[in-house]
Amino acid sequence: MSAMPAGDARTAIVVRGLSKSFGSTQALDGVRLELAWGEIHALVGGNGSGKSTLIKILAGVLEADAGELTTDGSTWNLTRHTPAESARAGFRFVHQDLGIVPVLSVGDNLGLGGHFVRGPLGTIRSRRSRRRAAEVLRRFDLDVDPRVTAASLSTPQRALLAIARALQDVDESGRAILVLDEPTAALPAEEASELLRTLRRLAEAGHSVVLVTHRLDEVRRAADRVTCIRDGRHVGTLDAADLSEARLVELILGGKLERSVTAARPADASAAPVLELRHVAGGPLRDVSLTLRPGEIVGIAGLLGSGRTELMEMIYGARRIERGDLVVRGTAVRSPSTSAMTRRGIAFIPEDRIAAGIFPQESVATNMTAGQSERYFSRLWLRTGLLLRDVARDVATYAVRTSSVHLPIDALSGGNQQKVVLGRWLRTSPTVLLLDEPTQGIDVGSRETVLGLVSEASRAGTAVILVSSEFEELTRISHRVLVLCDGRIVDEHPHGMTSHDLLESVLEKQRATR
Amino acid sequence: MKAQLRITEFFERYGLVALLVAVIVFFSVNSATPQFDTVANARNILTDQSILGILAIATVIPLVAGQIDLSVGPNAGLTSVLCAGLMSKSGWPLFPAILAAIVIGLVIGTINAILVASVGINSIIATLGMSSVIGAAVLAYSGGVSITTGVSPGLLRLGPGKWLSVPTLFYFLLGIALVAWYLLQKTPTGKNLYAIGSNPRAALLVGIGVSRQTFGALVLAGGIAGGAGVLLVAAVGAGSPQLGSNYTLPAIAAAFLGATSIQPGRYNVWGTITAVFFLAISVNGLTLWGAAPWVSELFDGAALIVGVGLGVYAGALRRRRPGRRGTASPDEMAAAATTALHDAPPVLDAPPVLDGADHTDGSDRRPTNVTQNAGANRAGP
Repeated sequence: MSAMPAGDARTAIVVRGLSKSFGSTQALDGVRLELAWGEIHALVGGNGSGKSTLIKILAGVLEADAGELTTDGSTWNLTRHTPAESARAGFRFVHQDLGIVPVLSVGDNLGLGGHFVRGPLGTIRSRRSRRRAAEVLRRFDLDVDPRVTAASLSTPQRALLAIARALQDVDESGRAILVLDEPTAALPAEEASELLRTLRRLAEAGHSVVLVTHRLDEVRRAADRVTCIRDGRHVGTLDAADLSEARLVELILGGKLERSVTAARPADASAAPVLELRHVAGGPLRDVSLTLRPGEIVGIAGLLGSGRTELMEMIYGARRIERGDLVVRGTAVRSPSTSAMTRRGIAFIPEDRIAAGIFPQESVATNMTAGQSERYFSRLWLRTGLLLRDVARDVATYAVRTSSVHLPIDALSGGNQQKVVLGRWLRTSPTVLLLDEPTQGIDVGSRETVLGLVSEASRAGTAVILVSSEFEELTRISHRVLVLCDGRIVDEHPHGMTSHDLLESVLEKQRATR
Repeated sequence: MKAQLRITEFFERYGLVALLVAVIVFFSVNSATPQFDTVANARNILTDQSILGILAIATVIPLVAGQIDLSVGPNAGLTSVLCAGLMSKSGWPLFPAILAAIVIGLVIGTINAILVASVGINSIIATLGMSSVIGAAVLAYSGGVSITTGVSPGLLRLGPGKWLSVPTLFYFLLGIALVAWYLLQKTPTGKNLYAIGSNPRAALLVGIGVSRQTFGALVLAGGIAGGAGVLLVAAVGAGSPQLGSNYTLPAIAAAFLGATSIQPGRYNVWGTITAVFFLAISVNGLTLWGAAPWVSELFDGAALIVGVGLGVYAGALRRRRPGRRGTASPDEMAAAATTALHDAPPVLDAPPVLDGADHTDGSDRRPTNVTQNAGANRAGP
């Protein structure tokens, strides 16, 4: 360690003067980042702030316009950084989707990317590879057989496997800079906490952990220091302990956040129900009954595996109902299809926006009107001009930030993509809106916009079912929250309880059923 | 910068058209190919390529919805033999024979549709198998011998026929192209098919009847192929059992090469027609110049590879440049298989997304969970 540059002996890396522009957009402008060994360092910023670009440059998949990286005694020019150099500088990455191949065994997942033990002809030596995998798993306290398929692991176990894979070639005594891109985005509170504890152990072992996240409670709970980036500029690096959540939001947004969205006036309890489920069962659902009235927002709280996604898919006709009745505006619906349910005014926003919500290479206009072309088909001709005019109007209505409605949707930030997906349904004034984790992976600003749009729709008479792992959201905008546990609705809370009480209640029910 | 982008976009859109014009000009002024710029040669090309053009359009329609139909050529081969045979062997009059050919085409399309859209078999496999089955049926019916006698003279006159000095068959191509263009671009059905091709799961979840529309696209492809079989009798003057499968590769090559032009990144009708004639005229000119006969197969094969390759390249470019209209790669077929491998290494190996947008939420990534997604696609009703 004698070759360390001047400064704190704990300093792991320093990035200075990092700039990057795309055409006329300045994505990063003179950003600095300093990481220490043994710390968890949160990297925060809104959608489009430039933190993704920063990480891609560090990983060597993007070249910077300017900037250098200093590690123990070496300086790297970030304008000519490569993935191999990034690895030599000590970086290891775990991407948001983890990159685990579910059909392969745990051992094979570890072996991918050049970590199999090879024979003289380059063939994989299975037994030795397996032994090596078992050793890696032991080192990372992952108590699974390397021969089982990755699909059989729980979500937190998969996250741990991804971490083990990223760090497997670092000596037990060595240390690395582990960068995790939103590792907890898909995890409910309990599982997320478990993962954060693992990260703490890695930091204590001497590694430097960089956590990119949108979850602000997590930042304050898990991180030692926080670096905030806004509009491509370094806003500040602060000790997490000194930060209130409000201050953090201010740093990210550059202004105060109005948490003004709350539940609308109580829904009319005498109105005829728009949706009724009577003893519905199928897949993980055992027996679910619920009644939904116009203008009502019903929150559904449940941990992963409680059947919440399956419930939404069944109501929308994307999954078979094995037993029970589904009644839409007084009419029983038998074995519905998604197109039939759409015609009945049911709208569904799936959890996995990328895989199931958007048409990635299609334009914003196409995405916003997908499945709705019939409205613009008159006198045997698709009226494209009319469609584009409506979309231009709705892009403004739903606060989508895009320079053109012709832009492919995957050029937009996640928050803006979600507003397009939401707008697609809201512009049809649906009777029932089913939302599965609508704010997952989007920044605090976009989140308020999305919740505001949902609340507004409910005021206009749309009934909403909201599934969310963010209990703060659930308690804030729902008229009532149902607790789904093990395929059954086990509890119901009226509006007004705190998110903490809701979490306690859910965990208690979970324990009771086990 | 702006102007430069516009020029690039213009070339992407009309590059193939420009190339087609360049080839025509080159062979017209080339003193070694005096036969090229003759009316007779132009008519020959138009007549010969009309049937290929129709079959390429039949290929494009299911391709838009993400399904490949390899059986349109063999299908046309079977219906041509059947159409000629019904007249020659069974003494049917012309119109019932035409009707029977189209019905058989539709039946084959329907079988493909059941296998692909209802049962869920990969369309490459289903239609490849179907091609072989059709080949067997052709041999069984014809005994491998061309049916040259007893074909209605009315149909035979159609082949060399002209209207306003343009071959009649070419009008059939134009008509079918117009209808297909209308269907794909100006009706909700077309928009829905493109949506299905882009993301079948998302299409299902916006309420599009994915299996129903896919089914329809494959039936339609079969019907068009059946009609092309009738025109094939007219063009060749006989029901030939050898012809059908020769159309498979050129039709697909034209559809893929066509996806690089007019509407780059999308399978489209006019791009496909351009590709058909670009390939045919290049081969024709080279042959007149003295090239060996195998140059035709060389061109078709190269076109297929270049077409798909350009799509991949354009897709990468599109991801690199912000604010341009979609020039996605028409390589969705291969994407699912490669996703698993590409997602595997533990480093951030996402394709470089240089558009300045923040992709922290993984919006630049394809879904990892290939098998689950594939299953989910079929989970619908």
